[in-house]
Amino acid sequence: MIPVNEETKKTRKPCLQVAWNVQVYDKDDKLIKEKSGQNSLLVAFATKMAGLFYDTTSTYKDITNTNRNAIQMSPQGQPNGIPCAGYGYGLTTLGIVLGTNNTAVTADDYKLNTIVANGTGGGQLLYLAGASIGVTTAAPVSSFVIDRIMINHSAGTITIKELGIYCLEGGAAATICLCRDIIADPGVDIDDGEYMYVRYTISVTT
Amino acid sequence: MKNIPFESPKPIGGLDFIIKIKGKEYYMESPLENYMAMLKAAMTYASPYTGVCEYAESAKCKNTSNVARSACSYYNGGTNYNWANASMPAAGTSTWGIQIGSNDTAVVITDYHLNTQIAHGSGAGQMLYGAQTITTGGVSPNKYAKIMRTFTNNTANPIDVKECGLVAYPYCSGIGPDYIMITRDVISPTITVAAADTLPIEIYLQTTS
Repeated sequence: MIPVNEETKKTRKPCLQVAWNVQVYDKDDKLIKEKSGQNSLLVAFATKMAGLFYDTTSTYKDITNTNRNAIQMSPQGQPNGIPCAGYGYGLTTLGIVLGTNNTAVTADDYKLNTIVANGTGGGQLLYLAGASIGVTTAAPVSSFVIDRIMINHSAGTITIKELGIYCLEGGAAATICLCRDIIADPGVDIDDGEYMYVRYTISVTT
Repeated sequence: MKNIPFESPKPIGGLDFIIKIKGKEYYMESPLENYMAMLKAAMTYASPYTGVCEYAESAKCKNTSNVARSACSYYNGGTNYNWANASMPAAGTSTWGIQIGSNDTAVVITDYHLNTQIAHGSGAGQMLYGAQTITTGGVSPNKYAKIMRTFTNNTANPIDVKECGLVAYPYCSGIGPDYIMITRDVISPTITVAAADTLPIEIYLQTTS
């Protein structure tokens, strides 16, 4: 085992990593832009993990800056995990979401700063349903992917500068931001008629 | 094609698994494939109409007896069973929660149990398993969920502890709650627990900067 000290804190990569990749395709499905980055898990993710292990006391903030209890995930007929894929057509309350504000990430962020709304109006994108793919294991790495497509039919250009993953907390019908990442200026443009394919890869390495 | 390879802003971090033994902290080698299968399931709707999440893919998820299981975070009858069957393992329960063992065979990501678990008890080579607790804490950006359990050597001889695992107790499709190991680590250097001594173990799932 590797001891935790000031040196290893600087050099060691996190055990569970989250990497993102965004690709922009034109109306002919031709890849025209791509960017990648990694690792902006927020404190809400650790609290959600505690909730999965039946921590009944801890709280964290939803996207309205309201405290929620970690265990409040599963009233009857509501999600019983930390769902953020497999659903969500037209919704910006769960799944991968995009924004236009690249203010630096802090671990206490609880939402995207300026989310792009769903729709075809000015500055809006059409959010398709998200999905999850995997698990894929090739020792020593095991990973899975959460992805989503957003289409620009707004008649204008939308510049993406932040992205993240929202999950639904069923207990209070609230939304939690699990991770937030930023794209440095000038961001990534999605022109009218183009679409963005966003992929988050979650992995561990033994 | 205009291809911009990699984003430059400094990342905040991921999630570290840290184990604290006898006051010393170590980065864990785990988690295992089982953990990823359960996490992926917990993050995915099975159906937007029922509002429940997926079961883990059984080909990627095995119980501690090496039998394929479709585990999930479960809700029923007003109770959130999650990955711990709506409880924490009590004192004397050694089938799940933090476990310790005496075999230091290297970790493989598809491990599903400790190679040689130290049994609960006061007989030769046994240790008493205390009750497990979970709390959260820390200071941003290093917030954590902490799972803690204390083991006691109630025998007359020292006992070597060489491996450690965390076993969840989630609902499994068609089965009910079952034991799924989600982390396994070889403890190096070996910890020798003297007679009448205790071994507190804390596992931190911690966001890291």
